[in-house]
Amino acid sequence: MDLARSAGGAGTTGWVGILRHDVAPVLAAWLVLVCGLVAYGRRGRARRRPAPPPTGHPWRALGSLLAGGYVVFLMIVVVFYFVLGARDRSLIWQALGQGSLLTFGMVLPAFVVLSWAQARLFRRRNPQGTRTGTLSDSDRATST
Amino acid sequence: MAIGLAGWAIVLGVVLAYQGLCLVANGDRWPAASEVIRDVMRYPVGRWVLFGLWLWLGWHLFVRGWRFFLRG
Repeated sequence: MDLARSAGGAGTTGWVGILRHDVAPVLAAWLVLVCGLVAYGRRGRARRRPAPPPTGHPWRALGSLLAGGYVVFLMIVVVFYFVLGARDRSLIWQALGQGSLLTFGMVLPAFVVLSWAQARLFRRRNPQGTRTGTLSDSDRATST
Repeated sequence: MAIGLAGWAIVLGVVLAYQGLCLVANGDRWPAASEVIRDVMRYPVGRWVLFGLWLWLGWHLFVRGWRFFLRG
């Protein structure tokens, strides 16, 4: 955004553009960070209690993660590129196609392969099949 | 431009120093970024938002306007 041009009397268009293209994305990123901090703060007492055992199938958790993340990705593209950025509608189709390729063509196979490798490594380290320690919080979270 | 770059160097240095302090400190009073992210990951919505942001970053930097051999 050319601040010099907007400050030289280009009218409200310049400031509107700054709000849409610069302020809105940065403010949104800050709000996401603050929400994360609030979520951490609210769990203060709960964090000291042991987490419940994981429930649900891991494939369901992976599917939920991929689908939910893909929806968030599309929302980012629609809101910040199409609505605020006034980009061409073809960008949405581009994001749909390329985002699908990224999510289901690259990330999903990578997750499957890495999960298989982790399980194989675990079996090699623990041939008896017993867990030597408790699951980490993120492992519990992703298993539900 | 040097002042702007120096500003960024200072800001990032402060952030990393704060992260180091939080990693060294005990208890919940000084949570490190990794602890906050781990807590956010306990919520399904938190996992969706983090994964969506990661997807967006990869798409924006490497895939958007993709040409053969990644020439943008």
